[in-house]
Amino acid sequence: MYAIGVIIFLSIITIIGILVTRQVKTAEDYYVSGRSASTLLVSGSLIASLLSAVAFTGEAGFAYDGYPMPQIMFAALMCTGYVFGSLFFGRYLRRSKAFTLPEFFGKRFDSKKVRRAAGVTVIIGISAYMVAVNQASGVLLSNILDVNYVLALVIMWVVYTSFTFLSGAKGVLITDTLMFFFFFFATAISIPLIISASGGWPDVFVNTPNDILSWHGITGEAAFMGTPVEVMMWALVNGIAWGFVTAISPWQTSRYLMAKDDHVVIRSGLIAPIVILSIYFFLDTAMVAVRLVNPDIVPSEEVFIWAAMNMMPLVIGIIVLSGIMAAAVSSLSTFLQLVGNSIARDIIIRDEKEYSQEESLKTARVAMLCVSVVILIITIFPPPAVIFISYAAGTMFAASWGPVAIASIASKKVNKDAAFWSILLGLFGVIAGEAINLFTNITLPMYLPPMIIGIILSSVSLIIGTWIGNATEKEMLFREKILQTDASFFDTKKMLVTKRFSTLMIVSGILFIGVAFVYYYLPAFLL
Amino acid sequence: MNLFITTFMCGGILIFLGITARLVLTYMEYNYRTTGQVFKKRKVHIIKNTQKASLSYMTSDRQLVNSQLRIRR
Repeated sequence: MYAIGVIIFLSIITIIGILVTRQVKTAEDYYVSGRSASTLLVSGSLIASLLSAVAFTGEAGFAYDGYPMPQIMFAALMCTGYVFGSLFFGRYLRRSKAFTLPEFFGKRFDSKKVRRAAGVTVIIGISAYMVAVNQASGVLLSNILDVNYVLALVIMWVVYTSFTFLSGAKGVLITDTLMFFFFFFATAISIPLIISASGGWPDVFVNTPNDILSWHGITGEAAFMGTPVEVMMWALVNGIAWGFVTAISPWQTSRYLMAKDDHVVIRSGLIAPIVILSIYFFLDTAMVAVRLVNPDIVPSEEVFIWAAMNMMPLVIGIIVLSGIMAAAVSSLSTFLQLVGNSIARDIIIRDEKEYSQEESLKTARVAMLCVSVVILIITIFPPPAVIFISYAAGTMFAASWGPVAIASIASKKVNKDAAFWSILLGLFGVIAGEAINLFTNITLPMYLPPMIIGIILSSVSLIIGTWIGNATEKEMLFREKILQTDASFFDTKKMLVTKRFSTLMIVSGILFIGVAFVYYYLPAFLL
Repeated sequence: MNLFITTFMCGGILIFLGITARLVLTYMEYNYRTTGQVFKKRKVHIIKNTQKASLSYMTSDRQLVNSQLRIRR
């Protein structure tokens, strides 16, 4: 029954995605959804792209292992990137009228070299990340359908490639938003059932040992993290670094290129943290409750899947499993779209005037199809190097793009050479750090993960490059152009609505404090 | 510490982000409105009192604040 339910769900998503193809008329529709996306579509896609299957498997497992609060601390810090990213980077990015992020860097620094360097980073980083998500979803689907791993991978490939190849950004935005609603609904209905099956509220938190529910989770010599200070360092360093990821990574900020106007960018950046934090808070605290029913789930990554199959009625279980698959498919479609676009526009750079709409669309589609086939083959026969890169892929962009992205808006002196070396050395820093961790006996300290090494190298090279070289007039003029705020932005009605989103965020924060106190702290520590 | 992190942290960060966004929006709007008013007032003044006037101003967020009204008499 689970298999039939999940197959029906995947078929519906594929058909909807393919139907959107009829709306794709121009290259702009295909690459950036005609730059007409609403707040609902942009925020839905932001959330769906971030929460891949990892949030419902690996991260849920981390909470189950005894670290719900460190996981939530990490998520809270990560979410800060949405607000700062949309206010200080996303809206300028949108104004650049670029089709891809590397194209933005290329235009900003008037350099094909910088554009290609950023394009290569996207292709390496996102492809490796895709392989990792593909593997996870392949294992999950093969378990649900009871088929072999390769067949499960091929089914997944057909689902996300078909609509991404045909409908491009338009299809990805719509299916992402639908899938976001689906997994949000699945999480929302499953949590009360998990709590109820584990003994009901408030007993689940009263009966769970205090060290698991405390802010630092399980610590000690045998634990994953030895001391509370280590836990704090882990959450701070990773949370802030992932804040950079949500602020500037291609699979997040590329959504802003599709936004209708600056208000959509800012409103989406305000909505995403509220939803993501709510999902993390309730999901991760519920995973602790599963321990009371079964403390021996191995591997712990399967805790939510086990709960769906053993603690819920059949129909809800199917919805939850489909929700987890939705999270994986939404991320894979976004990743494929990004890599395909980067190959078509940032590696094969052609003069816009000589490039017809048909040619541009054809190139993008061929690139997309080739990429997806290559990634499928790599996932089936993964070379060790790809798996190694996938460890670093998520945070690679924080290091290699973070300082350049900030400087591209904030500084008029930063120049193409500084940007080029900053991107390359940031990338090198992350890969070198991961190599030290994996291939040597040296263990990097908790406060100096590979990403921080990359950010330091990237920042230093950017500062030195800016100090030595000079920005050209064309670079400075482009920056001036994107800094110009259109008068329509200050339309009283639009401004009022956007301000209401910030008020909604403040009110949500106050509600969050009340709910967290009554739902979690009171039974865990006072009853 | 437990009370602070388990209860206040998520909500506190949302409140902080909401206030930050509100302040940035208000600041941007204030810049635009105040500079716009200066522009209008001076324009009237120029029309009344000068024969030839030209305005040059930058329209970026930051530079709008520092925009200069250059009047050639």
